Parts: sequence; structure tokens; C-alpha cells
Amino acid sequence: MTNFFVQSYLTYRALFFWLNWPSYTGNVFLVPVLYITMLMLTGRFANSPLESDYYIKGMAAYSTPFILVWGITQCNYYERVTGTLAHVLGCSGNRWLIYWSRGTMHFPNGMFTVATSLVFAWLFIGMDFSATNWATLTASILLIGFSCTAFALAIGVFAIVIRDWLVISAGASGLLILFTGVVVPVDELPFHLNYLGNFLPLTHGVAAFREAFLGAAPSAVGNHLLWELAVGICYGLLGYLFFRFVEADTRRRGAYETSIL
Amino acid sequence: MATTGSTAVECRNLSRTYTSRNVMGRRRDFVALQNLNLEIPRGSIFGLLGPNGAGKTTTVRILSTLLTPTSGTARVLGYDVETQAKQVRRNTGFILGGERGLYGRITGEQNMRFFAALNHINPGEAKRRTEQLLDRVGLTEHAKTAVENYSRGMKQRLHIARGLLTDPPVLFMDEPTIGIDPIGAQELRNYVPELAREGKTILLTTHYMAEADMLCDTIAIIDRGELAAEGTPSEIKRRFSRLDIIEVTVNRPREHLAAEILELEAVERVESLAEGPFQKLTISVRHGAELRARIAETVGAENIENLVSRDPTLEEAYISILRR
Repeated sequence: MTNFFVQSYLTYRALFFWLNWPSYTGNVFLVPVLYITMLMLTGRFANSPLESDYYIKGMAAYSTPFILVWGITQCNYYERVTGTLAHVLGCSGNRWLIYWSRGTMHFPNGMFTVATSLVFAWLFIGMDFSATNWATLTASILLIGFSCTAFALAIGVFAIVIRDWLVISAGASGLLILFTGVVVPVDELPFHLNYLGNFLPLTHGVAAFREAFLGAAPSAVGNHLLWELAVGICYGLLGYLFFRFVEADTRRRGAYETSIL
Repeated sequence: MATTGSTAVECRNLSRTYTSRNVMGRRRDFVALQNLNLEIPRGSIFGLLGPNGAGKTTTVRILSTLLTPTSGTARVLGYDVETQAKQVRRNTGFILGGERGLYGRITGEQNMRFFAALNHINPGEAKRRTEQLLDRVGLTEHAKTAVENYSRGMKQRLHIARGLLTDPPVLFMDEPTIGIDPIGAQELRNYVPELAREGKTILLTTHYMAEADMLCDTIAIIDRGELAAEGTPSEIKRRFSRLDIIEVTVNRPREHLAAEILELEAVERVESLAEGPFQKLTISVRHGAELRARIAETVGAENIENLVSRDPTLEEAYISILRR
């Protein structure tokens, strides 16, 4: 277990290029605050305080996948372009641990950023926490963190394949902001797109997250929490299988340093 | 099932073809390795030589399990590199030349600790081995410096330390001295026999013939993916060179002397070098041609300081083999 955390910590230090003060504070603390402010002002401009509140909560929850997706995909990308991937996969290390170690240290960033968003909303926007069920809020945040870490690890494998992390991160972020009920309620999505949300992380987590502010107990949102957990497990398993497939295919093609596609 | 015999590495009809497709989907094949047969005894230093694109790195990559062969088999300590990759990885270390393959943003020591963790070495043992190996390659002083600030030679030494981390019985070294200054390269060359004395089997690829001649027990030369020659350095030099070498030191240099000698029958090449007041001529003559007397006559006996015949160098033999 110690070796797992050594791997997690050192790959994070080595490959997370936002690990300097300007980038880290900008992306973990400033970006979510700016998103919340932008959507709060949009809601107020539309003269709809209810919409404004909906956006604020949605964007606070969305700050978690934002930092996880952009952080983990960039680490996978840099692993490939710096030439260390061949050394990592040329060792006898346990692949399951190698795969998950790439996400472990990013998880706390997801927690920091959502905490920052909520504190900002409380201090500067006057968000009401009086009825909040803290157990539900904590559970929903942790499960969003888990499912989004699993999702980011899975799509991070694409960053290894195509040697690009920006397009992967931007695409995934767009998918999550559009179809998970962060800004537009899932039920109001056209053309049965609401079904798509069921297969994405965040959708059920953010529903439980919103309910927490209305005082819902964990048992009342149990189906949302379990669904979020199930989505995370599915992405965890599928992502790992995809990672092993890419490893085998890369060996077959001899493409550790050249394009796989 | 692994063998316990005297062979550490064995390749049988090993072939590798790379396939690529252009934007129109048209397939293009490149044969990197063709029916390569090799046998490397345990505890020996085996040199793999050849021009760029000959298949040296492909061979190393197949043996390190980073690449699968298209056909044929390769075994390391009896384990098949394709079907028993995990066992092969446990018993091998690989050192790929160049600047890449290390984490630049963390220190040399952290790089070592990371790869130790990856290989399931317990933290206490990892710390001990890291200190020992960094000391061995002369990086103790820079252990806590970020690798992005290392010189190329320091990075190469860290590559070597990492390759030895699991104390593997078989080591693959792909051009380990490339791009390093002469002193650094000499230091690296000193490690190799030390490792062999510890019982490790070493497969070394290099472009430096003197390095191969000095270090290797056996050499294989591959060209365009095929084995062109194999033997001890002395055997290769004797068996494959179609030239004999005569060296003449002239005490009264003459401007057109090299050109005059080149006109003699059976002389293939003449190199002229000024050495202080003397002129040194290295004359390559066709194997078996007895030209010492005619060369002495052309130079003038009174002008000759020294005249010797010697065996060709490995480089001369190598060039002969590749030009056949």
C-alpha cells in the first residue's frame, strides 16, 4: 500500500504541470469562482433568482470534474510525450495499481475546489446553508469526486492514444456541462438526451447535491447516490480494460514513442 | 517454464515488420528484423552492432517486452517475451539511451523511489538501493536536484542506476554512451565489465566500434534486419576484413606521397596524417597482397622511420562487412 501512495504522489509531482502557485490557485480556486460569478450574473440578468441559485449550485458541483478531468488527462499525456510510458509499462508492476495511482492525488483537488466554490457562494453571494443536510452534502461531494476521478482516468487513456489532452479535456468538460443537469435540468433536454445523462458521472451526484441544500437525508436521495457510485465503478472498470487494451495494442504496434492512431 | 541452461537470451527466426497506413489507407510495411538468430550465454557481454535502421533497437525492444515480434520467438532466461512477459520483466532491466524516459520535474532520488515502488520493492530496501546505486553512478551529490537540471551524461547515469534497481540478471543497454562527453562515456564503459563480473548478462548496442571491441565477449553485426556476422571481436576482424593494414611513419614528408602509393596495385585506401615532424600513412591493401617491399621502395628506404603491418580494427572489419 505504501508503494501505491509513493507512486501516486510522485507521478502527481512529476506530471501535473499545474503544480505551481499561479496555475494551481488559478485552476483550483479562481476558475470555479469565475464560473459561478458568470452564471450567477447571467441568472440575475434574466431576472430569475431561482435560476441563479440553480446555476450556482450546479457550477459549484461542476468544479470537481473540471479539475479532475483537466488534471488527470494532462498527466497521462505528459507520461506519453516525456517517454516514461515505456519504462512504466516495461516493468512488472501491478497494472491495476498503476492505473488508479494516476488519479489518487487529484481527488483532493476536486474536494478543495468544491469547498472553495461553496465558501465563495456563502461569503459573497449569500447562498443559504440553513437547511443543509451535511451528511447528504458530504456523501454527494465524495461520490461526485469518485465517479469523476474514474471518468477522468478512463478518458485519460484517450490522451495517451492521441497524444493530446486539450481536445479530450475540453470535449469531456463540454459533455458534462451540457448533459448532467449542471446548467440545464436533465428533464428539459431535447430529443431524449436526458437518457445520456444517466451514463455520465455527476448527473445523479449533482441531483443529490441540490437536495442536500433542501435538507434531504441521505436515505431520501439514496437512489441518486447509489447510481453515482455505480457509474463511477463502471467507468473505473471500463477505463481499466481500455488501458490494458491500449497497452497490448501499443506493444503489438511498437508505438510507445510514435503515434498509435 | 524457464530453462536453467547456460543461455540467457535466445532468438529464433525473430522477425518484426512495422505497418503504417497513409491518409488514403494504403498499407506500407517496413521490415525491421528478419529471421534473426542469436544466442547469448549467461554472464557474457554481447554487442549488437549495425547502421541506423539495422534493427538493433527493435531487437532490444522485443527482448524488453516493449514490442511483440511479428514471427519467431525470443526467450530470456527461458521465458518467452510474448507469452511470459511478466517473468521476463522481473528478470531484466533496460537502459535506453537519450534524454527522455525520466521524470524531469522530480529529483533523481525521487525517480529511483518511484521506479522502486513500481517494481514492488519495499520502501526500506528502495531507500538502501537508491543510495547505493546513485553512489555507484556518481550522482549522490545531485540526488536531490530536479532531473530537468541534469546534464545529458547525468541523465544517462540515472538511466543506468534505474536499470539496475531490481538487480536484474539480464541487462539490455541501447546505445548507453550516445551523446556523452568522452570522460563520461569512459566512466560508463567502466561499469559494464563490473556488472559482467557480478554475473549479469549484458546485451549492448552501440555505434562505437572501439567500445564494442573493448567491452564485448561476442559481437553480432546486423544489417537491414538480418544477421551479417557473429563472433568474438578478434574472429570478426580476422574473418571478415578483406583488407590488411600497413602503417608507415615517414621522416621526410612528401606532398604527393599518399597519391603515389594509392596508384600501386592492390592498394584500396591511403590516409595521411601529420604527426609532428613525421607523416603517418595508414594504407589499406587487399587481403593477401604482399606490398611491404613496393611501399618501402615508393617511400624510399632512407625516408622510413617505421613500417608495420597490423590486423584491421573492428571498425575496418565492420565497414568491410557492410560494403559487401
